[in-house]
Amino acid sequence: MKLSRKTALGAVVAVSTLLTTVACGGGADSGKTSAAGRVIVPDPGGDLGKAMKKAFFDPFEKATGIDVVLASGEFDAAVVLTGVKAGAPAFDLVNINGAVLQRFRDGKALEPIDYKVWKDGVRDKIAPVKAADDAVPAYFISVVPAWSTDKLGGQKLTSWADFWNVQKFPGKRTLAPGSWGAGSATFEIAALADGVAPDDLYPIDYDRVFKSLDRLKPNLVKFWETGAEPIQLLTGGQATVASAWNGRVAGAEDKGAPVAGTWNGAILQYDNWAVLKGAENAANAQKLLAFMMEPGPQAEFANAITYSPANSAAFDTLSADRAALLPTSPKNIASAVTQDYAWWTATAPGSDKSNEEVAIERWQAWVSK
Amino acid sequence: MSVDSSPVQVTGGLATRSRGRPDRRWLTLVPLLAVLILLFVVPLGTLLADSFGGGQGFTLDNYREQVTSPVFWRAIRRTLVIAALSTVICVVLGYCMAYALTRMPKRLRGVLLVVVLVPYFTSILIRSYAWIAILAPNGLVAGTLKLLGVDSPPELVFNQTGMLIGTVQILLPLALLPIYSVMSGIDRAPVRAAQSLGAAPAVAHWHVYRPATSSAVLAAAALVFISTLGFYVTPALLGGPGDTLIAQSILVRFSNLVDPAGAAAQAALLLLIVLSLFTVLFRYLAPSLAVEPSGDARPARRADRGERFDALRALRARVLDTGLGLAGRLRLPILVGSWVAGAALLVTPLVVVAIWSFSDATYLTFPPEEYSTRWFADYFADTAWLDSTFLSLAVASASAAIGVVIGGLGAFGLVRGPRRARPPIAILVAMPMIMPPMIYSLGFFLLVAPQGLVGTPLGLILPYVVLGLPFAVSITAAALRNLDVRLENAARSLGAGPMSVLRHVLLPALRPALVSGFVFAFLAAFDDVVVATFMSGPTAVTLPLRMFQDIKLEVSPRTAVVAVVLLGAGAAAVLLRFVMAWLVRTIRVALSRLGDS
Repeated sequence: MKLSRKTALGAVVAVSTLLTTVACGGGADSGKTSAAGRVIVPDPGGDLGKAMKKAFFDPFEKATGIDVVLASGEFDAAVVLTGVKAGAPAFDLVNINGAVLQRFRDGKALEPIDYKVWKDGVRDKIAPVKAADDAVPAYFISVVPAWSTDKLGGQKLTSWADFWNVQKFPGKRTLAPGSWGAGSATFEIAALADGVAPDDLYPIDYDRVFKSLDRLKPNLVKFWETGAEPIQLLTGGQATVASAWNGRVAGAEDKGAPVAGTWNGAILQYDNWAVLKGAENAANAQKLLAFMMEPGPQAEFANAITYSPANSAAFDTLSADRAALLPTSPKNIASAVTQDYAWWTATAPGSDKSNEEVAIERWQAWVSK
Repeated sequence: MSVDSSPVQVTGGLATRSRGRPDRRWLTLVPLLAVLILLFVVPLGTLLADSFGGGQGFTLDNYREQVTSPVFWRAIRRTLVIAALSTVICVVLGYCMAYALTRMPKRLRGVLLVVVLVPYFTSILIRSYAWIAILAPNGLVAGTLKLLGVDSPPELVFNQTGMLIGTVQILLPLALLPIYSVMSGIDRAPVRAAQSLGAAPAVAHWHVYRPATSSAVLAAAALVFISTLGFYVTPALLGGPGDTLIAQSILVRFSNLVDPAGAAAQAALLLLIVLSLFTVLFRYLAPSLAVEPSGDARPARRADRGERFDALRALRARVLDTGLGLAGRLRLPILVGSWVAGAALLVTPLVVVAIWSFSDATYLTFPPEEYSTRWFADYFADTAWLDSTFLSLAVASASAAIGVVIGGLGAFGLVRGPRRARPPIAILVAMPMIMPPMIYSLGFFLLVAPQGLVGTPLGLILPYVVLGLPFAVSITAAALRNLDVRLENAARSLGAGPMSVLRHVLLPALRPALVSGFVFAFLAAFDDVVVATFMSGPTAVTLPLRMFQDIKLEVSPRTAVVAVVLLGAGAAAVLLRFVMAWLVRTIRVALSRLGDS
């Protein structure tokens, strides 16, 4: 008995030592870089990650020999910002939501974009949002009304007002939490559902928004926490109608999930590519960015996922069928609302906070009632 | 103070003093304190200093903003209620299950302990999705109830009930194992003696057995209560709209409002509230629960207070007697029922997860329409997943091993060392658990990021040692308090040196506690997402973080596969141990026969 106890203890110690060595060895291994160096990019994962890998990262690796390391660590703006401030940014090239970008600007966390490594004329083709000195629009996505075709049968929603209409479209609802601020699009959605005209959306009328949300609350099953969750709630049958990103809806439809969406009332959002200050592989990041924004890879990207390319020249090579599936194609954008990040990041009147911060704080107060 | 002082301590003090050499047992506290101060207090201190710093100089603005905010207080109130409820459920259920375990044959115990540990084999996220599949209006429970003729089943998820179920499932082992580790060391002879003298079984249990377990019960309750305070994934997924707990509120402040100072202020306030709550509770609750393992000190106190509370005590005694009589008659159903309920809680989500792992679908639909092993192929083809699995195993076992050594030594110093140092050290040890991991990780990250520790195994091991220490110390200390110090003194008076006492007296007696301390420290590291979020970097992505990311981005059965693979590996390891033991035995027998002939 005594012997076995000692052996067991010894074994535990030995195994932990061994495993640590193995792990350290493994760590050193994965840190190995090719001669041309590497560039570290957060892995957005899912269908978006696959599309980026196919359209951007794999061809770039082949063309330049530079390794694109996809870091699957959490992309939390606050964590990334602290890393930059501590002088150890976790990534080289990041894509940041339109409203969050301002925080990086305020924190002086961005390197200027090196347009000298770009091919001639590419920068001018970045539209409808222009390329800035420190950030380039990455792609356009839309938050759209989606629903379970299992539950609603042939019925189709055509607006956010329908989203609120539980008599006509009975069933539980789910929205993104307003604690995300602009990223959730929930403030715009609640205003539109209450009949605010798209042109009058900003400044957001909070009283009207929360009154509108009060009406929906009894039918809200929960607020979704991740982009994958609304689709999971729809396919799992816990929700009947959800707000969701158009790429998620299209991806689910492709895989045969009983889910559908509409472009009516789409809230157009965009992410930005930016190089982090103090990035270890800043030069490679600039090269990768220049490569990604060329029309070829941009078109390839839009063929892989239904998000709009940021380079308008990509539409020249896209088929008409494919273009019709993208958020910024003329038909789809007709009834869409583009999020006004200038308003979201502006200072709220009578305070030292941004509109987004005020919105989040009001949301927290409303939601915890 | 003098009334409260335990007889154990008196003898302990006398024994050393009578030997006339200075008591150096406090030295064992040194590594514990060094680790806690360097790796916990310093990082947190720098962060808390931030919460007092505004644009210019010292300010209390961050605190004023939180204290005056009704949102903050609502989150605190909701959190405390949920924490208290889950603590009561976990401790009662855990106590019954642990007691039932001690009365079972040894072989069955092993199997049931595996059942208790099984939930840890998979990510908290997919367990939460499994709960949704089970509890949702179209889920398993509602389906079963429908078969039984109940047409409008109660709403079990996306509200506080769902939150509570998810929380209890995660924390039940945390209540059960410390209690069990103490119970398994209790001699049943006094209970039998009491029964032979005419006490009903439940009465004998209450007056003889229970006092010996009360320190473990308190430790378990504290562990569960404190752990609940830091929860955010489970409440976020299983709670309804608006069921914000304090950890989520801190997270929103940190991540969405990018206000680390405000987040630190909220965390500091939470810490303050919890500490004052504990002070009050321990002041008034501890004596009545008889923290002292021996009953010798009790009569004195009883006499002291007796006169004032005579009527109240008579009432209490009558209620207690009725309760005990009932419990005694129902003890078998209660014990069996606790295991049925407990095992259902612990295992059902895992069954759902296991079925999901063989699903052919891209989403988590239950039951799956078609089955395949394609997600397994996916897992084994991806070296990133395998790397993460090994990294997590290595980091968690290394940090748990370090934690048990430092924590075991520290527990000894805490229990046997100077009495006056005890409360502050006990509070310091509990701090890493009370502090929301988000805040601690942030402080640690800020301190070590410039040193290039981010993305290295060491950068993960160090904070995990800190997070594992409260488990290692509190569980070992609970067992040590129940261990008669006279055993050590006897060994020493017979000439045993400290190492010898450690090897022949302490280690054998403390083994169950050390093992469960190791298990919890291991699991604290193996199950963590928050520290990894900060410390993993691009190069050292742990398994839970990879699972978390994966299921966050794409709800697919892949995470379910990880659970099944880990379970399989665990089962294989257990099997291997039995086979090895059998082999060793056979060889030894063969050798001895060879020697005989």
